[in-house]
Amino acid sequence: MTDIKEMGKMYTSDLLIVGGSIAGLSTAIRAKENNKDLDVLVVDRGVIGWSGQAAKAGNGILGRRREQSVDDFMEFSIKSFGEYLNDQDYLRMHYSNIPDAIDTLNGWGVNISRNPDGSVKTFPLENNLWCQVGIELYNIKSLRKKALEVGVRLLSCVQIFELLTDNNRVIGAVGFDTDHMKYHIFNAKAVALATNGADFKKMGGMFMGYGNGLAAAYRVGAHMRNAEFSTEVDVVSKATYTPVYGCCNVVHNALGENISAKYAPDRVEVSPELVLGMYKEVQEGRGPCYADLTIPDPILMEIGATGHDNDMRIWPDKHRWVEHVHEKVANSGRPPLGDKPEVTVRMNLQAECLYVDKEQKTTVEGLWGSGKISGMGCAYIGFVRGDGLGYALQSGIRAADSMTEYVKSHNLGNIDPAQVAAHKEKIYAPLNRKSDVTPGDIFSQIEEMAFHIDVMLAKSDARIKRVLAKIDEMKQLVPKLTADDPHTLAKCHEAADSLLCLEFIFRAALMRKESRGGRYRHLRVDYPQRDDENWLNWIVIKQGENGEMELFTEELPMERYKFKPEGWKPKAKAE
Amino acid sequence: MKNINFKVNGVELSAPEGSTILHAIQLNDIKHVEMEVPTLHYLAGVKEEELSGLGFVEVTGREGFIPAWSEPIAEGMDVRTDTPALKEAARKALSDILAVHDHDCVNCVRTDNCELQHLLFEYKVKSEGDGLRKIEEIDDRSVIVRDYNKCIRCGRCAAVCENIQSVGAIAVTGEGLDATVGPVSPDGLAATKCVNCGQCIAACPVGALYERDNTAAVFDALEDPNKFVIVQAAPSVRAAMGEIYDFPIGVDVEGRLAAALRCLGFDKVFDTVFAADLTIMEEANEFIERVQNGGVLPMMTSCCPGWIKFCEHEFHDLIPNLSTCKSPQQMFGAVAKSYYAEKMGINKNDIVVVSIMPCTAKKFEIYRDNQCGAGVPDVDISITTRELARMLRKAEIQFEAMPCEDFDQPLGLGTGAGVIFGATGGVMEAALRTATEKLTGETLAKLEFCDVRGVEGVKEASYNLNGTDVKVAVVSGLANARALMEKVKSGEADYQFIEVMACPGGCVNGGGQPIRSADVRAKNDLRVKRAEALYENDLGKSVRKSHENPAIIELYETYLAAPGGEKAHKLLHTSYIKR
Repeated sequence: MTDIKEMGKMYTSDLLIVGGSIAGLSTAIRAKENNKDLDVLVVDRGVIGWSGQAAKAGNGILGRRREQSVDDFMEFSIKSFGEYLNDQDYLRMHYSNIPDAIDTLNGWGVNISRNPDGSVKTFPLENNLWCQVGIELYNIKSLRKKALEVGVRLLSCVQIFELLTDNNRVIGAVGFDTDHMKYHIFNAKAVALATNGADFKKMGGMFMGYGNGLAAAYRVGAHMRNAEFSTEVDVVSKATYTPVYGCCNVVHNALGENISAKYAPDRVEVSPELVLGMYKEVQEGRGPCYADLTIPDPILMEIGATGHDNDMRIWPDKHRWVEHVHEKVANSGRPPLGDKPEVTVRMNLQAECLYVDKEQKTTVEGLWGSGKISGMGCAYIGFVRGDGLGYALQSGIRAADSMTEYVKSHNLGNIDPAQVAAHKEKIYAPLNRKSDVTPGDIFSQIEEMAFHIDVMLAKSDARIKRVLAKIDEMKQLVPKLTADDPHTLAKCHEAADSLLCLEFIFRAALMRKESRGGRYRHLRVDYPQRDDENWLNWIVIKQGENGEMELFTEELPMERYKFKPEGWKPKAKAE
Repeated sequence: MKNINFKVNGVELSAPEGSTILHAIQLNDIKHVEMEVPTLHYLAGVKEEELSGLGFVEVTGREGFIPAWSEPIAEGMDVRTDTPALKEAARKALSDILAVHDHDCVNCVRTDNCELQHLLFEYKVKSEGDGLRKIEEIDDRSVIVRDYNKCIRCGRCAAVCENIQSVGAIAVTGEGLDATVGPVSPDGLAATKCVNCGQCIAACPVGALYERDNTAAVFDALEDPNKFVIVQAAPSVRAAMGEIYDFPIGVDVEGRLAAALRCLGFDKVFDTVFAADLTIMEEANEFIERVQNGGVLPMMTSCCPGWIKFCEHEFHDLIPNLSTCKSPQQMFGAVAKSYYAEKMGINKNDIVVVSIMPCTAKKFEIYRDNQCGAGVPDVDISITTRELARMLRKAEIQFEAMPCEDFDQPLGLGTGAGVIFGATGGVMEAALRTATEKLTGETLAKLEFCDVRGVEGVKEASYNLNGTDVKVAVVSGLANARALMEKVKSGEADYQFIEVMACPGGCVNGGGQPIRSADVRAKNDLRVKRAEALYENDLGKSVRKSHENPAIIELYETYLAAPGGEKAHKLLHTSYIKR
């Protein structure tokens, strides 16, 4: 057996964090703050400080004023967004810690909105139940600075594809650098995945994740949860394809009818019902739709169009959607949008289903998940706008605390040269293939198949089965994928891993025979109602003994949760 | 001081009374491009005017453009920096400059760290042609290279040379876009009284000034299998190197620096701090001898090659006052090629000593006479902090990914006293730590000599060393040094020991350090922040006195015998000339 060091470039550290956006950097900084002697290495496929979703995020983070009641916050969130599928323990912890986490972030050098007296300035939303705090656009650049200051090691332009294990414990990872395709081997006492999940077709040129982290975790035995809550819909400007934040209440058809009120009267976010309604209106000849920004609507006022003028001026002015869109339109030489811009819908599928507990531990020893990769897998399901940053930050802090504790009693695991060699062979395999199948073939087929409104929003048994059959068909292409440069080689694995994540989504969607959820709503047209009797369960996915995908359910401990659905009764114990 | 409230583009800010509009906005440190006032000539403390056509604002209620660099703020002043008229004027000024500025950004050492490039990006200015002036070219006859095609004639280099350093080697002739900025001698900088301090490079907003690049020679040495390549890194490098990679100013990167040098392939990675300790042993000994034997006083430090050349040009009478000790860079090379070579059994001719310095004058120093302690040049190649960063980039080594490693032994072992050499007052403090203990025979209760710390141009203090009052002075910046030396010459000043550093703030602010834009320099005192990193490093060291450095003790016990002894004299001392 060849020496490991001859197979590639070797790195050793106490903590290995894969992904260098807000989640990864929060994990790293917190770990260094817990113990400055820890050797913490962050690896990212881009350039750390400029890459990742948070580097391009909107500039608001979900906030809670300290005097605001956590219970009210939770109740609202559970009713409107999670529809009782939330892990209420997790949710309580998450919402309770928001103000502290924002202070921590500010202490790390990220500017946030402040009142003249220095206190945190919050922008109330939705009847004062939740609020947003302004955050600087270059938050990742500031975090990079802080990470370097506290002694974190940052390795840019290396993409990770597989995890290394020693007796079912994760002890490292392998990947290659995107410049020269050199094999990189990492050995660490604890590993955190902060890679983002898998995104299919983000709106408006946002960041894409390809599920490398999820797939690598799955292959070493990590469980997935809540994969079916995957569909994100948004109403976007027809001119620029940027979301019209806060317009979900004011969408009108060409006749001037408020179709928000018609199809989705009780929703506080853009819902599949609204999108399907818009679709129907246009199909029946009452299109196009527009957002009436002149209506004094509380959500519109606060999230999107008007509102924080002077106070937010010191923040990069992209915050205000209307200004942003107007600027884009003006730059393109088209006439201004006016107050009633034409809108259309954009849809996005995403898998963020890495199963983690309250400490962000996955089901595999030595592996943690922080940030969006576990956004649904943690089951707090309280996602509202601005919480992507907040969750990434808080989950990073939690993961770091847990990892710091873990490495106190654990040494570096032993790397198995055979495993490293096998991964190397698999990762570089597409280079030597004679075929004409490119990763683009798989991605274009995914787009063709999955981006039908029927498939993404209005799911049904038959439609899902058609998708799954198509996925099976596409999987046959994976062993034929070919590449001759680092970029395409990475894409080969991204295509394969994306397919796997797509399978998580649709397998779970097939299993859940009900409709539930607010944002990321799971909507089945054949089961349009919520079914609290049978479906207060989480769907969990794992890799079976023979490599087959196994799905099973885990019952929510509703009995001890404070917020219960109306009419809920404890189940009679089975004899 | 009273604070004044004013508004910029509608945002309420405040700043101390008497600040100019430009300075008041800078003090508020706003991360918002539209609120910045673009400048290219203005450099706080060096050249406080802007003649480029930039630097204007509008004030509500007043007509026309107001010069932000000279107009003081007033209570309730409503300043606009983002009006279309201002933007248009800025674009016009920038495109005029760009029309005569070489467009080869790709091969420019300042790309990505260029004040002009930054503004061109922010104002979306493009220009046609190649910007070459085609009348003058690159002048590389000195260690400081001038590229006339990139010069935007801001005059910062001339201002810093004249006002801060009182050297006057660079001058501006002509006006506006017809002006030429360059050495006062037609034969180039080397023919002037230039001391090679490199402060002009640090002031340059673009890539018109840079150090003579010696990185290729280092790569050649590293690739030569017959050479044993040793590297030494000066203390100040660790206090500033991180800035190139977005570390906050003043973060000590000692461990990463050692790891990065090892990654580059040096056979041994050593620390100039070791040689700084050695310098203290020799210099403290020389001082004590001069005091006890009626030698020439005040004694003046000789670590700084900029100051040495300045003294050789300007103060012939004071040359006997200069300590005969070589600088740490040279002492290191002499020891590496004698003691270390013999110890390891390596032929001194096969050893290449490379030094990483915060300094451009060090490139000049290695070619001075009487710098061949072991019969071969003490140091073969001297490169700056910036050149090291360029080497790492070329070798595709990510500095940010480096782990913390230690220097090699024994020449990598340094004390806290050697580390603080990089800050003005550091050599004095290190010498005092050793001299006091040697003279009194007692252990110092408190090692910090705070009177000689800080970035004031001239500091003085007096200490009682075993019954003798010793009056010391610490000076940095050559204009300050000139004023002090005049006093010494006239007998007005009666010091016994003077530390002189050519660069304001000492080596941490050396001419070979990472270049920061005028904006960053206005908002941060680089000298203070970088020095803090060294003082913190000192606190963290287990040994903080040069004479307690075990590697130094061993060097004397096994090789040099005693400070100031015959062997030490041959290896570690030098001489000076009148220029």
